[in-house]
Amino acid sequence: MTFHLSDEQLTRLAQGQIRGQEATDVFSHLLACEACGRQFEMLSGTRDNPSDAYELHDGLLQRVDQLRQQAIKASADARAVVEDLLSQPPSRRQTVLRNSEHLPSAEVVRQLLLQARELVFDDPAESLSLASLALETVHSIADRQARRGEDTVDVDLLAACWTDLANYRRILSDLAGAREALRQASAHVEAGTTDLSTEMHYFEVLSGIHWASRDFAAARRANARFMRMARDTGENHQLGRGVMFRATIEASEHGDAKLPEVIEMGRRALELLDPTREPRVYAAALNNLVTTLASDGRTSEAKTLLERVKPLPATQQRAIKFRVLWTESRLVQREGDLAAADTMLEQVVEGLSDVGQLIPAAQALLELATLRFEARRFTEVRELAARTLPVFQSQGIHREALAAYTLFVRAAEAETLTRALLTELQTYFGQFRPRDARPFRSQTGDATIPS
Amino acid sequence: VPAFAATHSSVGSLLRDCLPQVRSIFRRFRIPPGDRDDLVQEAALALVRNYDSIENPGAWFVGCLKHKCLHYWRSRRRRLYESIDTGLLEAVAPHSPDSPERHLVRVELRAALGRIDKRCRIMLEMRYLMDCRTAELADAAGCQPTSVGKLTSRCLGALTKVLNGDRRSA
Repeated sequence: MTFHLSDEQLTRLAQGQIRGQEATDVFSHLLACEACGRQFEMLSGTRDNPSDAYELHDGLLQRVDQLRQQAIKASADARAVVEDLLSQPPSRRQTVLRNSEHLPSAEVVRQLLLQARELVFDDPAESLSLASLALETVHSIADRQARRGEDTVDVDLLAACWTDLANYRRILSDLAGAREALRQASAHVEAGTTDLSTEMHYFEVLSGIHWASRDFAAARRANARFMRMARDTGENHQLGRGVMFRATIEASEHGDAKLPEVIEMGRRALELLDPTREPRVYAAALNNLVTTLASDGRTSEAKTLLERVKPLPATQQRAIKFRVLWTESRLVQREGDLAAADTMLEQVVEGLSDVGQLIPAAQALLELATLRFEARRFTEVRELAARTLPVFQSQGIHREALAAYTLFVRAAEAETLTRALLTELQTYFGQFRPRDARPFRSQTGDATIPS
Repeated sequence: VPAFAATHSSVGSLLRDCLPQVRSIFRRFRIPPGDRDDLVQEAALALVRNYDSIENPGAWFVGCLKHKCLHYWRSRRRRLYESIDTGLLEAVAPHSPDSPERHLVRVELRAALGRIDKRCRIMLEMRYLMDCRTAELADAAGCQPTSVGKLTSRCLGALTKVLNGDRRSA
């Protein structure tokens, strides 16, 4: 073969710029000519390159310092914008952003996402609303840029927004919505610039969604990827979150069958977690360990640890405070102090109802009912059931949950309540997901849902 | 102002401290000299942006750079395969008028496909020479339609080796 393809043609081929007749000409030659194939390999960058020493030159360092200055300024500006935005009623925020004279920066989106993450323990619905606002802002930035003739969408930001949306939807029990958001996130992560923080968070959220869907093997795989990234970047706190969640996966899948392993993971998570960085996560990890130790019969160890949980500032917040009290009630119950457990559970039910956590409140109430039922205090069970039904009704507990709860109330009234039914109801409420809720079905045949 | 401003007078000092690891990563991942600065810059920018939530900036920067190097080759290969795919589809387009060159491409393509493994050969023959759609490819490969892209990409990798002159080992 006398003639060969030019470097320019081969480079354009590698860049996807060869079309039509030229594509025919280039491929008819390339498929037959080894010399051009080797040249193509060189030009397409698929051949190993010489590994000469790398030096940091001043130009690069200056550029990076400039970027840093820009990032600091953008962050300060964005904080002011977001502060102003959050002072507006939620319904007006999008309008304010859309009509603002200046184009919101990518940093505004990041700040919105940070704010959303900070609120997630107290108000996941507000977190969801802020993440949606962040997503709309990315699109609004893209629209304005498109009108100026700039065609750039920040794919990394889209990935971050969709990942957070998926997380909040999962927390709010909208599993189908969470999966859809994560599908969007996945496409953007794939197309993005490999932003490490976004990818780490993506795998953490993916693991959470698989766990909520009870696909424990997939949850474990995603969690392992998250932990590998955390380990590679020296992020011990994140690694601690990963270990803590792995313990949750194991506990959910194996129940009490793997308690020693779960306890070991809980201890390891506490070693890695930084209490000053996410105090509530640390408090939750401690509380989880107390619960697991108690389930394993190590009551005194659990009680000692519980004394470390109670004074933590994070546990003074109501939602966490009542969770901790719930754990304590189980401990004292195991020790045989039923009166103390009864008092504590009353407080837990009231406290969780007050903060709007109705399903856990119902779960705690069923624990209290079980405790009284076993003590043969049937009249008190009946009174408890009758007293709490209007509370759940007025607070708008989920329809299916209300139906199941009504069944408990009627069984108590009719004196047909059994220990087996109480256990079934506790399991039902423990696994209850509002968006995927199914009607309660008694396996023991002790009851059916009233029509 | 992010904590970064208070704790580091310059990103440069941090980057200099990490230089031995940076060199080792570039050696390990065989990053072409022309692209190394871009990767360092991207990782440094990510570091600056995430500084407030990072525990160990040095380790994070090195981990981030490693991650970027890994993806560098993945995306580069993906782009190359996409280019070859588009070019080949153009070169053998069934609706274009036939010509001696087009005939030659088909003959040579058949010969090149004969040098890759059977499953890939069938996939690519169906794609380039029989104008089959994704659902048919999924049927033939016994996989989900969503997996066809990944499989095609792997097969294109093998074909690219042949195109690259690596005629024996592909």
